[in-house]
Amino acid sequence: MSESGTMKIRTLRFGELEVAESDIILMDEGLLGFPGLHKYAIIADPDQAPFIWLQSIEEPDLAFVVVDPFLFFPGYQLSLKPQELQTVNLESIEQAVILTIVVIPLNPMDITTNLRGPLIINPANNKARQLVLLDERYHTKHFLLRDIPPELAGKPEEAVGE
Amino acid sequence: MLVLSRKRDESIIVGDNVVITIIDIKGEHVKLGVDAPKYISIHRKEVYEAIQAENLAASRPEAQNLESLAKVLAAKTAQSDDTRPKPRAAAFPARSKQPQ
Repeated sequence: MSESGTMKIRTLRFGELEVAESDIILMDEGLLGFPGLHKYAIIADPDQAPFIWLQSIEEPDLAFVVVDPFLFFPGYQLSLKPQELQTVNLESIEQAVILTIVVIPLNPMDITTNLRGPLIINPANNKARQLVLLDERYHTKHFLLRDIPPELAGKPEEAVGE
Repeated sequence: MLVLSRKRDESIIVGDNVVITIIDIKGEHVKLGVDAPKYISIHRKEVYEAIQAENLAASRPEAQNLESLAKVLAAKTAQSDDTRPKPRAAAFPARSKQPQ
């Protein structure tokens, strides 16, 4: 890390990037299937919003696309145990940033996101973890561009507005 | 693989601090109770594996389509009268980096 709070990282897709320290998340356990990799940079290009890149700092060619699941599924609910929150030093889910990983298949209109294994981030210290939810309503492939099932669309009284 | 026979309410202990107890047996269903320290995560294996597989499928995407996908989404959102509550996840906003 430099004194300016930024760090230069090498990436396959974006070349060399300078990322703010505050945009680097730390996963003690890594993502499931990628246990040795603990540091990821959050890269948000406004032209690609709402898609956000999760770029491995340790492996230049490894990157994921993530989204804010609540943009697509306002009815998405995470009920977490206190000890799950404690793993990223949080006391309440309200303080967390939640992102879910996206899979872009050959037909990009079939893009899905994984609501069963969301990432929880503590924005105060950038600690993050991939959760495995017990909630059977959520699975690993929810379509982003198809009709949203009612249980994920949010309660009607909420949708009417405040 | 180590194979042990246990009855209801009997346990096995793994290492010093993981205790697995047979809570109930009904036909093909066995209910297990696991007592373990907080730092040990316990999951149903098939769910754990499904997420692992999904992460693998999501890694290293060919994402030249991302901008056009973003446009499709923007169009979709514009169509719907969107009064949904705004999400709280925008904590990593426009400190963005353009690809170089």
